[in-house]
Amino acid sequence: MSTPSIEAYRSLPVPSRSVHAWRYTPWKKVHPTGDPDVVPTDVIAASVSLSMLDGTDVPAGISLKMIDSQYPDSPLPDDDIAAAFLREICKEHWHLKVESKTVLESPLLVEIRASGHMAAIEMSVEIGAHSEVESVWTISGEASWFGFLRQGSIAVGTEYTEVMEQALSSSTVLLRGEGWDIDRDALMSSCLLSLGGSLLRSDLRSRIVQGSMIRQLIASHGIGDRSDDHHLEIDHVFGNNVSRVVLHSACDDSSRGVSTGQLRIAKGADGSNASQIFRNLLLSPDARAESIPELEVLADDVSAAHGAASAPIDSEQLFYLESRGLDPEAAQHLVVEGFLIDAMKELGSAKLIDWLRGRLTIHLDCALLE
Amino acid sequence: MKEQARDAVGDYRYGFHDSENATIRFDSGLSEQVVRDISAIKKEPQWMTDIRVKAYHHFIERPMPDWGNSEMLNGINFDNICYYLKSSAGTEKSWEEVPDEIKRTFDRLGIPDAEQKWLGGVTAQYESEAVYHSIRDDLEEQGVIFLDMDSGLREYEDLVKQYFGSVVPYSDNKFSALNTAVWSGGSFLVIPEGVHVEMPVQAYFRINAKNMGQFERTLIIAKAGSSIHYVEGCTAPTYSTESLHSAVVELIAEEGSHIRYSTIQNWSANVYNLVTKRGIAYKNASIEWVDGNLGSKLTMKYPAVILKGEGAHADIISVAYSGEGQHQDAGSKVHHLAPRTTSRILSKSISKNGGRSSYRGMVQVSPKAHGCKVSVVCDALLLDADSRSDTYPTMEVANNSCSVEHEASVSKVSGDQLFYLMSRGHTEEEAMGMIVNGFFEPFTRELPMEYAVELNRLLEMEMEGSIG
Repeated sequence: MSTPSIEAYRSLPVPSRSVHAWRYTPWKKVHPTGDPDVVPTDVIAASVSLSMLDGTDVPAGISLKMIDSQYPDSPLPDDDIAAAFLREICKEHWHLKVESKTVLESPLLVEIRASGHMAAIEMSVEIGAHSEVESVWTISGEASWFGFLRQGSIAVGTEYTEVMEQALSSSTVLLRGEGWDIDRDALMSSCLLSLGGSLLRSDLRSRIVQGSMIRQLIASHGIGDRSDDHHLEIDHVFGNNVSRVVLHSACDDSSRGVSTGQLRIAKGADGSNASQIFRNLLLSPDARAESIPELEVLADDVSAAHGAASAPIDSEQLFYLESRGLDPEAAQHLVVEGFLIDAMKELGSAKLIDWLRGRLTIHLDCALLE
Repeated sequence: MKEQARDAVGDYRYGFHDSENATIRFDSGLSEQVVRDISAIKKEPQWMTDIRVKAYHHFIERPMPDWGNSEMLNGINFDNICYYLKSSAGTEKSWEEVPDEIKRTFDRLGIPDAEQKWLGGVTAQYESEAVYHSIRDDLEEQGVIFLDMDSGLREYEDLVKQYFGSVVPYSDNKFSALNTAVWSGGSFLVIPEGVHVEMPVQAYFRINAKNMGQFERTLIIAKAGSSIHYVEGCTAPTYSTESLHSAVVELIAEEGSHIRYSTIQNWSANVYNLVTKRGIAYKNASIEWVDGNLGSKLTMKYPAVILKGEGAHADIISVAYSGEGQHQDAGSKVHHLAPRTTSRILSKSISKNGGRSSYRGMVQVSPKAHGCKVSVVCDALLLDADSRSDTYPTMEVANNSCSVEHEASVSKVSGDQLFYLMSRGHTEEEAMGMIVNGFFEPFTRELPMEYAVELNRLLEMEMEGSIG
């Protein structure tokens, strides 16, 4: 695939609000300069490092290298304006490769740090066939604007589980694009804990084929005037596969949670089983939640469902906790913690859920002290 | 030609047509002069002509929607459509005085029988104008106004001026602009304070001519504490060329009133059905849309309710059936603007023989809508591998004391259900028909019995030949 030229981005029209993926966070708003015609050249490459979560050495067969080529045939289409922009501005392309038949005892740890006025990084992830791999990703830093493009493939018969903690500074604008190909009989489970940033726009797309399964779980906590916009698309290209999307967004203060999604079952993809659930917990009179869970079904022998709900905290839950001696604020934090952890329960790795729970508890305790 | 038409739109019970016997027929195509001529023929007041002209310019300037089925929408040739056709000298109050050709059409559709048996009033619209109109004497004595829209404008100009376009302004969308520019016919209904109209009133819309555009305009005002059930039905003959139906319906439900608006849309499969329907419900009022979409080539219709007063309620039940070459893009919109408002949306669709059904919905909860409750349920059945079902719901919630729930599912007919019914001696086709009727039951039970029976029969006809 040839490197897209600057014209590739500039030839794309700015998406209108009638495109659901861009309805609530216009492109202009997440562009680093606010002017869609500008393609900045002074973007700093974010740093990335690879280690093992338990501190041991990274085993043979696993590598993180800077490469020249770009990811071919990405699930992120060429006409996606965010992906085209990120491909254009990213100065470094890192490739994480796990050889086939790798079975890891301990999770990988990938740490990404974004500093400076504008930072960006492009990564590709290749998990080889018949492997069992877990990984922990952290995104942190004080960059005013951070662009993150990640594309990956999970090869035949592999089980890949990852968790990601996004803990950027509270003033960072994040533009994130991800595309995954899940090959035959492979399983990918991912869970994102979205805690930092001020304005966040993520576009997560996946393609699944026969016998494969994807679980995308997201827990987002909004405070201040944070706006966290997730767009999720899953293409059931062939049949007999499973997709699960669970997004829990707790919105406090004047924050906003946005969840738009599309499950697409292609013609002939019989035996597909797709579900998508968006739940919003509204904690303050000024908090907002917007949800558009979409289904496009072109095959008849399928099971496809989606659900969305927005509501305040159940007063009975608060009453119960307060009757056990908790003050109202602590009671609310406990309910929020439970609500966000509930989004992670399908992950399938107790070790990674425990790690995420620890990060979430620290975040909520800090928020309680502020 | 007849065979060609049949091939194009399939088997359709109301596909007959009578020879065109127009007293006035405009040339095809739309211009400011056409708009002014329609207004002049109707001898309308200047303010109405001005609104029509403004709407015409808005229609011309506004681009086609860039969402939905753009391919089908862009297939509409607005220059090939006749915007005004009058087949009768006037609106008759006696069935005997309706011109024979038109009477024959409505006789075949069963309108006179229905009126005698169970209706409080009837308006029958043929092409652009109402040809027959009647209301029961007791309702007239109670002060109920039920007229065709043109007569309403003549006899109650102040009332029409006050409410016309107040719920659906011409600038709302491209097709509301078109309707406002060239509207003709429709119903004007005012129910006085405290009056409960026990028997439904009905309007029946029929397109008979080729390349015809029907643009009726309906305005219903339910005064405080009143109630009404309005039923509309739509059919058209089977031609190989396309017709356009673009109506606007405005409902105003004042404090404590109740409006139920039921539609059975059974246009032939060569009609574009692009309709804007919206109601405003004030304090403790309720509006119900009961909406059945069986026919048409492309339907884009999203009945809406603006819940403006505390305690107002909206109920929207819709079903859609898409067969070969059809796209039913239907849905619903509810805007919660006031505290303790409630809404319930139930949408069911069936796609067969390559048909496409889409649910497109919008629920908005404003910051002031404390304690409101919303429930949305969408179910879709796909009967074969060539068909398609889409769900595009939007929920925008800006209040933290409300409860909003949405759920949707897409599936095929359960093999267990089919097996059970066939083990009781039904053929597969009968079993499938029964399951489909059962699937639509939450909708049919809300219809007057005669309509429910008719709908079940129509569905059975549509299901014929669906197996094997």
